[in-house]
Amino acid sequence: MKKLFWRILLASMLVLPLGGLTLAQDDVVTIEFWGGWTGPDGDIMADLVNQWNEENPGIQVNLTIQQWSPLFDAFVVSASAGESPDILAMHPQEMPQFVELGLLTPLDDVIEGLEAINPDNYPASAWNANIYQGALYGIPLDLHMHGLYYNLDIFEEAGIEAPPATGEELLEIGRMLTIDENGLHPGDDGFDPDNVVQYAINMHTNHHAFFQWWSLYNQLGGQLISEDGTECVMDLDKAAEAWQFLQDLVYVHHIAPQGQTDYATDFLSGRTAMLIDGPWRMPALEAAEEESGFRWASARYPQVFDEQYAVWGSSHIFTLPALADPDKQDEALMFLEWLAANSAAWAESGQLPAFRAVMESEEFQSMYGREAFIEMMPYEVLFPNTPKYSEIFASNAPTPMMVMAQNIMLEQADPRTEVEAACEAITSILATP
Amino acid sequence: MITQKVVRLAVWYVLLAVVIIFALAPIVWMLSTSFKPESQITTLNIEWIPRTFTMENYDAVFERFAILRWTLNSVIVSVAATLLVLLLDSLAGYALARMEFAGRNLLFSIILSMLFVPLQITVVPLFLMFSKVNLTDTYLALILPVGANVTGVFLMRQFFLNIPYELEDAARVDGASDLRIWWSVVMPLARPALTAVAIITFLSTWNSFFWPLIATRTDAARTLPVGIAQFMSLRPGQSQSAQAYGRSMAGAVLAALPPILFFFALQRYFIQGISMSGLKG
Amino acid sequence: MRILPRPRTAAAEASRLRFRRQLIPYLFLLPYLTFFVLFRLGPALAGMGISFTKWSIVGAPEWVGLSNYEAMTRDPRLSAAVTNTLFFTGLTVPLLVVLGLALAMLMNQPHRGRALGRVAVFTPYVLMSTVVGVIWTWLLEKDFGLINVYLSQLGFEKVPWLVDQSTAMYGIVLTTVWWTVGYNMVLFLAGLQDIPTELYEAARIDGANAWQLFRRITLPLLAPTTFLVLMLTIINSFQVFDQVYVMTSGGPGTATLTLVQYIYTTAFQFRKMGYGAAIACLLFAILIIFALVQTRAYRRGVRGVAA
Repeated sequence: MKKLFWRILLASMLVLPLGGLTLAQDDVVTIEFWGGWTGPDGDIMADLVNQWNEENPGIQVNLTIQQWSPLFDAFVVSASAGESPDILAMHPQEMPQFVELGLLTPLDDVIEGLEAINPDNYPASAWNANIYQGALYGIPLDLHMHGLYYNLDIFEEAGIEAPPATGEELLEIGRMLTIDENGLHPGDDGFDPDNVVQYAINMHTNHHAFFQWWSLYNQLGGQLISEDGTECVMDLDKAAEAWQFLQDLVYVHHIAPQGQTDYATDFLSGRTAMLIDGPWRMPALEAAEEESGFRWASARYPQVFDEQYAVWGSSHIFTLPALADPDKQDEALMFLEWLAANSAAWAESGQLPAFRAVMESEEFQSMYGREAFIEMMPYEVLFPNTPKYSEIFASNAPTPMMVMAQNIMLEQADPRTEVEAACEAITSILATP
Repeated sequence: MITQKVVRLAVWYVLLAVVIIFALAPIVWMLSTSFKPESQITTLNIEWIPRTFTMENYDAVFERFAILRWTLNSVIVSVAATLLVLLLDSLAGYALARMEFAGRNLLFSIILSMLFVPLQITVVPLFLMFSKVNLTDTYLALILPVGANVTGVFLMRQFFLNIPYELEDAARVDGASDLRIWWSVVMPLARPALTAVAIITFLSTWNSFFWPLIATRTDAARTLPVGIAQFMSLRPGQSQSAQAYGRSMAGAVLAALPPILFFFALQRYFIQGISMSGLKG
Repeated sequence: MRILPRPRTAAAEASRLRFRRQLIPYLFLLPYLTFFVLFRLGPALAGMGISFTKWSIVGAPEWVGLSNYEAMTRDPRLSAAVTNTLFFTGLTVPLLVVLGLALAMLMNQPHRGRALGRVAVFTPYVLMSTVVGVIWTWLLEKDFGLINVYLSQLGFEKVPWLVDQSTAMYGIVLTTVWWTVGYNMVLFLAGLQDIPTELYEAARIDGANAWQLFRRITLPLLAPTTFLVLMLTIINSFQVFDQVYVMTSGGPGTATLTLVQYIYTTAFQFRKMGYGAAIACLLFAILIIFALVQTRAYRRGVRGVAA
């Protein structure tokens, strides 16, 4: 027994350093590529990387995936020791904070002369989102924005022909499609809002509720941060009006559930008739259609306010960390060029490829459900580029945006009071160096 | 007499059943989800048993990811760390519990107080240190810091406090050295405590996420939790992306099996009466 | 017959041996202390040093003196975090300690099926936090979650759990108890093995009932273990992070924001490592106070039992 103990101890000690050995070959360049796609989209990216690796034995790409938050933690901590991956994916709004820390390479000179990666090949909105303080830091892979999905069976059964395009239509259809356990609709005598069996619509009303607000506030033409990035310039009336509409959906009209975190599940199982979500949801809808005959369609995000059309959107971008080995930059760019030209496969993830040739291809345009999203592309509004993005907007931290959203949508707090508090908090964050 | 025994057994089985149901119901759901096709995870009514039983989630985990390598890494790291901790902490705990020396209470207080420092603050200095000596992304980076574990020392000390002094004194009269007493008299008595330390150290090393996330970069040293997080989906309300729950749950089941087996193998050392039988011998 | 520690009777040792004897404890401690200083004390002291700087993790820290500590005095998020952490600890600790002991005593019964019971109770502890988060947010969902579905079938009203500021913390507490009670059970199980069975037999012959056995033998002899479990549970509860981060991220609003969640958020997400470290020092100070009170109470308790 004793001997065994020491033997195991000795054996395990001997094995230890093996983990440190890396089997690097001289003539192979290894590109470290980090991204945050932990869902089915990660498979598609991995397949693309594998395809590249097979076709290019001299340049091997090593894909590391983690949830975005821990991914950035690891990025910053390794940067503190002078190490970085060669390619780091993110969203445009996350880029300025890393630029301020000096962790990203300005790309204007780097992409000079490249074939695919060239502003002419991308929609202006997708390309320009990557410009911070006059310099380019990211190369867009895709675009995504919120749209409206609806259950065709429920719509047909209720005799509704078209999805809601405006706020009024949303409320009207919403009443028809919300049913309590006695078969009553909101507004009927005796309607029981506590025992609803089918809700008309579901969306981010919890951590990400401010994404909805961002669409509506922009439809009212609102601004959030001043041009010089030093203070909150929220139009408090408009901001409160946008919130009021969202809050009323839950607490006055009773057509959306309170703080549901599983909105996609509810839509897929027929508990809600409509869903507001991004294009990344389409593969799951397609799978449900194939396997259980779930019938769905997509439509533009409703235009609730008349001032202008706008919808929240963002994009996945590639950045080149400044601390990466400069000798590998050419190889990294070769891979990214190839990825742009081959991003048709990425469209399978539901995301809209930013590379124009792929986006305009007949193959992509004819994919079911994409039409509404393609239509919305010119109207997408991103969160503003500020180095304080995570302090203001992070949805997994007590940021002014998340606290405001949850207070209004979950606690029924007065929107006006909340937007005032949030604006004050944002200004004080921006003022702190 | 017989009826009393029957009643007692009945009560036992009822309590056992209640405990097992409460503890395992969520896990049964996890297990059942891991065998469902993705489209059937989201259903109107709760389905404890999969309508269609599929291995596709497990297949995907094995085909797409280096899960066997991660498991091997986790086993090596956790076992080595556990052995290291057992050795270090039983020595230190023995000295702190049974020996008198200057500064003992102060030292114990300092050791204990380090339990109060959250990991989030020590991670960056630790990483910079390992980076300086070029040990990031190795097993050593994952094993060595566990050696500084405080819980184990605390636990060993508390258990050594309870051991009767007569045994040591007898051995000392026989001329045994302190090391000898520690190894042949005290350690056999401490088997339940050592088991507890082994279980707890193994588990915390096995499940540790933040440090391995920071300290590893490649599959050569990456442990299971960090690896599995590559395809772990959050609830949809918490993320702006698509999810793959079936696969997440399959990964969770695979990651949970080794420590469950480890616990099952060790729990039998929790048998009453060991310390007295040791006394008699 | 009662076995209690008594001082070592080694008064008549030669002075030649004295020096060696004094050296021995340090030799026993040396291997551990090497690791401890390198990988725990060192980084922790570095972390405390960071609390006097402004540091965004990348680059050189900038010395700012006490300004992080001053900032703490006018941070409403911090006072919310302290209150929430105290509330969480106050609720979880008694539950975890009492349930842990009860489960350990139950699973120490010499009946068939106890290995299965032990494994069942311990299994939740084996799961990673992300998985626990996924399972429990699903279970606790307001409208269609399993717990509320069963509650309403039994005629109870639905609890809004994680979506309401007044109930969110209870959801976290429930999850925590389910997830970690197995840990305490293991510690208590180990402690129970140290109690000689002969004591019970002797007492039983004297006609003691089950409660008296528990009160007179189990509880006093389990005191070192209970102290350990209590300390560890308090410390772990004060440092609750994983489940909060995964399930609510501190929301709704700041209803479940806890100290370590706030430290993580500040230090990593907001990259204010200096301020995060300062909050960590505050947490350290709070825990030191708790530990002192705890130790004093324990010493008094032990003296009471021994008397």
